[in-house]
Amino acid sequence: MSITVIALGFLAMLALMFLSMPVAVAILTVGGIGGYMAYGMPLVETMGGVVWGTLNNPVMTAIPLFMLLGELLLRGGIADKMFDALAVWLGRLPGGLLHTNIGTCALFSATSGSSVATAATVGTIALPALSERNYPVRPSLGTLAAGGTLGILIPPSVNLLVYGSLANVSVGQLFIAGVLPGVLLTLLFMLYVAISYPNAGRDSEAIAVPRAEKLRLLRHLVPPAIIFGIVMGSIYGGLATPTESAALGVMAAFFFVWRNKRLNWSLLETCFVQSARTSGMVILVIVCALLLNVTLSMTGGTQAVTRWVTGLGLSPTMLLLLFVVFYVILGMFMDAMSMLVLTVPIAVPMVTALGIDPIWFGVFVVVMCEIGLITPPVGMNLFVVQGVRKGGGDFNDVIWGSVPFVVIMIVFAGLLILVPGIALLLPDLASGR
Amino acid sequence: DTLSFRVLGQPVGSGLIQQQVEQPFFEGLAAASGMDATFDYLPVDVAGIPDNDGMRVVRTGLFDIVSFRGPQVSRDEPTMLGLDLVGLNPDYASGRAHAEAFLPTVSTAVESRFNARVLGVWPAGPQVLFCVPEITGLADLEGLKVRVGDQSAAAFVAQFGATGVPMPFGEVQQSLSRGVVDCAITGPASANSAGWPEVTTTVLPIALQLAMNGYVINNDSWAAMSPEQQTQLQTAMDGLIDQIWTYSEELYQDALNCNTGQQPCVHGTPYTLTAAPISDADLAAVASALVGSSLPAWTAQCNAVNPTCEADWMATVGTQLGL
Amino acid sequence: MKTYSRLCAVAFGLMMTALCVVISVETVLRKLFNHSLAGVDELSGYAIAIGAPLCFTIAAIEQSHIRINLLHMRMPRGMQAALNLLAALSLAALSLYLVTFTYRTVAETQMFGSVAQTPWMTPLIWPQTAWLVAMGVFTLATVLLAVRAVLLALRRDTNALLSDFGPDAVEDELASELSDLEQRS
Ligand code: NA
Ligand code: NA
Repeated sequence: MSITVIALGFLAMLALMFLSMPVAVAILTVGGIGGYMAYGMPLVETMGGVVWGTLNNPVMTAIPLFMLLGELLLRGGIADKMFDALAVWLGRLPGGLLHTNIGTCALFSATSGSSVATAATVGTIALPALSERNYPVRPSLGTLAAGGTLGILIPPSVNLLVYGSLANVSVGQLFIAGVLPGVLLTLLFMLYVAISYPNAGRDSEAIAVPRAEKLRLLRHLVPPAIIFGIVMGSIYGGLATPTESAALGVMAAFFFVWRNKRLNWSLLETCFVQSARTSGMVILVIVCALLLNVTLSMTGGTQAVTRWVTGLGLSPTMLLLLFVVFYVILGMFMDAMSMLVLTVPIAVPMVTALGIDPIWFGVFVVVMCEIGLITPPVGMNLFVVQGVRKGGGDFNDVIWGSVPFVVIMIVFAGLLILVPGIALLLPDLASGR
Repeated sequence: DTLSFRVLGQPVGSGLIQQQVEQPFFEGLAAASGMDATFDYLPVDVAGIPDNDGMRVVRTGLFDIVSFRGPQVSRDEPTMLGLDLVGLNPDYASGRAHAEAFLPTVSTAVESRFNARVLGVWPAGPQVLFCVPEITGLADLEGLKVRVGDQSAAAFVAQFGATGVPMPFGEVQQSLSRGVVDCAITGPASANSAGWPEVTTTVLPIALQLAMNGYVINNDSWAAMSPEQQTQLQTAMDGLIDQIWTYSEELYQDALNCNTGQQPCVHGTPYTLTAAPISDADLAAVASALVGSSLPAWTAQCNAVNPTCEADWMATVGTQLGL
Repeated sequence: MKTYSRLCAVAFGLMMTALCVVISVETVLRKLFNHSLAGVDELSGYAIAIGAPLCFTIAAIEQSHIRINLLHMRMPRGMQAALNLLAALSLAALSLYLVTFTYRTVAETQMFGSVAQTPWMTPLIWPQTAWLVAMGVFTLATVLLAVRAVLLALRRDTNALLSDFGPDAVEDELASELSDLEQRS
């Protein structure tokens, strides 16, 4: 199959997406019709087996379980209290509560499946406190939007899970690989805040919190710390697969919600609906992307693109730099999960052909997805942060507030390319290499 | 005019037989056989089709020729397992003899249920045990967790008080290193390329199964060929299958050498595993597993879809073994 | 439709909770007592195969399937309503397509008497029948939604087509998140 036909198919798909058809429909229309035109009914009959094989896979089970875990922590009121606890501890750094934004978002999204819920919770608590203390508007909004993106890099991460199932690499390894880059990126964000806004919040009267109270507030950090410890500890320590660690995390979350005296039927029902809803939108797109993938490989599309790109004679570094440009542009217009499922099946054979480690590439792609979440015009986190501003205000404030973080993430992607060990050190240690 | 064939191959991840023999064979088949035909070869993992669906895709004609994976497609065609029960094939020679004896039965079953013709079968290679704790024989498996490929292997390790844990191949290396499982069963060559010797200490080189794979062709695609072309294709395939039998055995010996730091080691990475000596007791245990567990478990499953399955096996392989 | 989605959610949630209990017990038993319950992996595979179509259903009823509204929100109202109708119809078509080949696969499984290659040797027809039923639940929901969208279009009820079938997921979701947040605090 020629590059032209593939390009036409891809354009048709983009057209359907921009006509606001469901992304899953756009993908399956091209995959299904293309496959039917090439191979007729036999290919269509094969698709049932592909869907069964995709769904009947324990790795897929981890998606709704992690979604459920995040919902329980959120609706059980465990997340709400984290901001207060972090505020008294991080508020004294240069840049003040801006660090709290980043820290809370990162910690919280480390367990949550939904970025909307994360940003809504943190934003609602943080923004009034920030404006009360005269923090500059743009960095206040930018730290919220950018901090929220850390959640898909810091494990557990549904995006890493999806990458693992598409690229056929170990999800446990991917989770372990996400830790160090996640921590580094968080520190880079904080460093930027400390340098650019050293005096933010200083002109308001700092509320003195007695030491005893500060220590008391620390207990709000215990449940999220324990859950993160259970999930990552069991994966890193080899006690459990990602699916099993998700199940253990859910059990722990049930315990904490019960201890908070919030465990009741209406809470459970909300959690079930919300986690099913977010899982449903993610899994349907994955299923359709895998079906498109079958058509693409059967018709030789993937191989044609791979040959074409490897035929360009690019060095791995050049190819990755091109990927940065490509993903930043794509991410402006496309939702992060759709971007992931559409590009990974084609990009992974390409990069592995050039000797790039697929685990490393997973981390790289997720950083690219993070950028997409805060670049206009389509940036999920931008919309959410704008939405939680109580008094409204100019959307440009959110965009300009996020721009420095986009730059930081692009620089970070460059760093990742230069020093692959940032992502590969921990997985190598864990597998004893 | 020119015939065109779509070929579904073994997964790229499955190792050297696919990379060094199968794929080059199909890419050069048109020229080598002298057929006026094209062969489009696509490994099953690249195609994104589950490998358990091998028989189904040859039946619908989506692929004309399928390089099937025996343990995986036995979900749909359990007759296949009769070629490779635990304890049936302690070495290549017996594997070949039993394959020849039982292949007609497998062909008939495939012909009637999947509209396809079996072109031949070959072994991926003896499936042996790799362990993190130092073991001296099968008796040391007591209380250990062992990654197994199928239920007949699970039933086998259970005899020694071990727990069989099913697990995708890609997760095994890390699971061994972190103690999720203590031992795992696979071929020495796959173990070598997946880096298992880095995280284990001992290999027990006793062949539990040979992991039989093979080729089938859709009946309609077969019928579309002239008798001359049919002969050309069958001859070429026979040559491929002979080549794989030989290569598989070479690879097995080579990988055993590599894993234990012996020479010659041509295809793999050298490591320093201890090879546990094979005791007569262990050989007897593997041999008796056939009658004791793997045969009765299989005949129950096979007779359910193929009423003459057990009788046919007894009349062929069973007679050879004097059962 | 709300009841339909709630029933699916409760079925899904209870299934997942039960699964978490079983998996956790298995993991702890395996690690602490060196005892493995066979078949938990297999069970979780079946649970997600059956649970996923229920999730698709809920996402469809809540209008949450991912849509890109970049151009949509800049279009005239009539055009927006027409695209919403088309989106509802296309999702119904997608589910019909999925359920058709699901049915074919299950029919093949029945024909071959396929058996899972796992310690349980489960006849695949059982979990796959449940899978087919769940796909049917999804199909029924999307078809009902599409019928409703067509009826609204025939009545020229642009407002309802915009409010009930629009892709403005973020705003709606935020509103409900914020009210949920207020209830918590
Ligand atoms: Na996360
Ligand atoms: Na964007």
